[in-house]
Amino acid sequence: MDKRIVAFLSICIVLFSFLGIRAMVHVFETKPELPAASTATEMKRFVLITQERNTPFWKKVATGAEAEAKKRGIALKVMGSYSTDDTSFLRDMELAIHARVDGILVQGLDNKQFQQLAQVKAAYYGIPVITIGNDVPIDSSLRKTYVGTDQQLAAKRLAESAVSTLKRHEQLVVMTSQSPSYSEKQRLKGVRAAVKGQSIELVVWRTPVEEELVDTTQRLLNEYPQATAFMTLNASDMTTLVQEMAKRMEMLRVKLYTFDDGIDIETLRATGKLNRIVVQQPTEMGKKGVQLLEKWQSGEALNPNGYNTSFTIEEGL
Amino acid sequence: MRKIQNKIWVLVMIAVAIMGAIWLALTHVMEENQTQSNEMLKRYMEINAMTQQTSQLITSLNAQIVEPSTHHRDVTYTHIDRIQNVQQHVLQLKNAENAFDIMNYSHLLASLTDTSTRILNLIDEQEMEEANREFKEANRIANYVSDTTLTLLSSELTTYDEVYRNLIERSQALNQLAFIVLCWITAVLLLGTYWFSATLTKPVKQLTTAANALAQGKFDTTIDVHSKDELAFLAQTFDYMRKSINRSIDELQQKAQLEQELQQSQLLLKESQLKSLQNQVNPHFLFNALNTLSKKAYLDGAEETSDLLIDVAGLLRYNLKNSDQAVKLADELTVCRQYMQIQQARFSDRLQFEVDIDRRLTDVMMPSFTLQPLIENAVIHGIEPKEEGGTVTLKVALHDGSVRIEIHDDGLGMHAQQIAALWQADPQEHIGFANVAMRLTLFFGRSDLMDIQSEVGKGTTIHIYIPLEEAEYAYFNC
Repeated sequence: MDKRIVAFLSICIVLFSFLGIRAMVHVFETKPELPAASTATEMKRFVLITQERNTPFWKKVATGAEAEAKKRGIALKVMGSYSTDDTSFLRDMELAIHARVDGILVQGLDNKQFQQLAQVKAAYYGIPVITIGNDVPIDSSLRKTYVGTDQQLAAKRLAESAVSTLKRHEQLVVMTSQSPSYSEKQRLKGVRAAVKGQSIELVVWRTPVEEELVDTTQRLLNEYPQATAFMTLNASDMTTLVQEMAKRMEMLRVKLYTFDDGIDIETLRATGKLNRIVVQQPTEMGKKGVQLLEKWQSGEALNPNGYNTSFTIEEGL
Repeated sequence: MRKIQNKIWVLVMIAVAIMGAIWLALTHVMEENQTQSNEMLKRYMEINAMTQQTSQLITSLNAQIVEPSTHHRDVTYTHIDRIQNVQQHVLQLKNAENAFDIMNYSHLLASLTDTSTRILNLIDEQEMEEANREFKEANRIANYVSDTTLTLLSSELTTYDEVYRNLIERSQALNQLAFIVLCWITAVLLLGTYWFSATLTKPVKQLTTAANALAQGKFDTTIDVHSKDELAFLAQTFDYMRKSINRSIDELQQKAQLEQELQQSQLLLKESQLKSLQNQVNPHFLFNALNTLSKKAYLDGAEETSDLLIDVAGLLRYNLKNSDQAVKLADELTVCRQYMQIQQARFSDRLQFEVDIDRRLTDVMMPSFTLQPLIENAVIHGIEPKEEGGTVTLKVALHDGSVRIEIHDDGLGMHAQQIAALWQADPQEHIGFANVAMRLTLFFGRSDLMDIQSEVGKGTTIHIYIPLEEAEYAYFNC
């Protein structure tokens, strides 16, 4: 009776000691740490605002910009909307301005509100605005500079490669919006320059805003059934074009040309249906954008004509 | 530990100390948890408070625009001040995760207050259209503030999600720990209490066992108690008692043994003395001699002399028999008669002898050599010294359950001191009064079988009582 009770209790004590120590260690392990209050003096804040956050193109721009900002100890935030939604895009821009950020990298939007914001508000707070990827006319926006591809030149090169495959009197159909963005206008200029003096028929198809893209594409294909070269100045239109074409005709007969800043550009390239595309350098743009903003912050003058990043015309595969 | 009380103290102190320590540790950790929870909540509430402030500002601005008045103006300025005051506070909430948004927040508030001030000035200057435009903007800014609040709160929640999970995990770990500690303490205290009570009950049990052993007469097992407290002291005392009892018993035993040995050796000595006495004389020669003398005397015509010689032979024969035999009363009486006849021949008329004997009783057994020595005493010490001589009377009769033998002489008598001396004489020395008394006592196992009365000048009477069985007495008493 004696020894058994003592033995039993001793075993209990040893067991509980072991368990207890383990539990204690566990308690001290899970010490929750509050994130330390940052005593860093005000660091610089830049924002990157785009209307097409969900495209691979702009994601790369963001990556490039963020990496460069981190390197330089600058805080960068990516804002904007997901599908060419003007309202929330402009809202974000106004928020950034009122929040007195130190620099704005923004995808250019050529409308009155944008101009108002860039010209008046940003200037009022002394915030430099640099357009990235897509430019706007300098006079109306007073943007400090532009970083991105020379759209006019790129389009010209693309059109040249298209023209080189066409025979006399063949048609090159160019799709663009009825109210085109500044980039599109520039691209059209480039195309015209490439076609000038060539015996190619240039068809400029302006897609109305009210009409569904599918419907207008259908109409286009109806009206120009014999066209063998199609170019979309807005890269996202290419998806619908391919879709509609695939319903109707042999794809091999037709050559497609576009730019690489569309939503589904990766998928399209994978299908192999594209012949030539303009491949831009979005990561470089992002990086350069941040560098330029900082340059401005440190008082250097910027070239208002813009800093062009390189591009290539590549096979669509 | 010297005292039981001390042991209790120590046990209780240890228990209290352990529990105190555990309570302190647990409380500390819980407090830490609580503090961190509070910190987190505080942040949320501060951020939220800001939003309320801004919406109040907008409301009062609106009121001022709709109905400009000093009151509205002052209220608005109050709100502006408040916001400006708290703006600093907001910056303290900055951490690595939310630095960007916090700074946005802070600047947005600044923009709002600037715009608000501007609006108030415009209203003062009656520029209502401009004021309205600015108010639209102020509204938008207030909305941005709300948006940023939401962003901040969302970011906070994400940041602190991890922390919060940790807190919960910690709480649970703590609960587990507390439970295990409770079990541990229970086990420890049970063990401690058990040990403690064992140190009490074990000695008590040992003492009980020892007492039982003593009660049953086993005095040899030592009482061994190991503790150093009061119980040990008790056990020690107990053991001393046992040892001294043991010693007393041993001493008694030794004494008794010695006495027994002494008695035995004394008896042996007496026996050997008698034997040696006996062996000193060759009995056969004496008998033959006496016989011859007796015959010769008879032939010479001296019949009395012949009778006397026969008496002497009888006496001698009786003397040479084993002295520790039991004999009949009749034999003793015969010896007495023979002795008296010899003595009467010597003392002639000076010595008279009378007998009164109940012949029925003479078959009872008694030790030998009891009557003759007494008769001899009566003759030599009682009658002989008396000039005119005297009479020795010998009576045997029933008396009160015994056979009473009376030996009376009317001789000199004795003083009380002489009587006392008789009783106190050494029974071993010679066959005398004391010896007879002792042998009677040893034979019958009673010490009240002889008495003696004497008066100086009157005489001496000795009584000997031979106890009878009830049946024998009844038989003789009819």
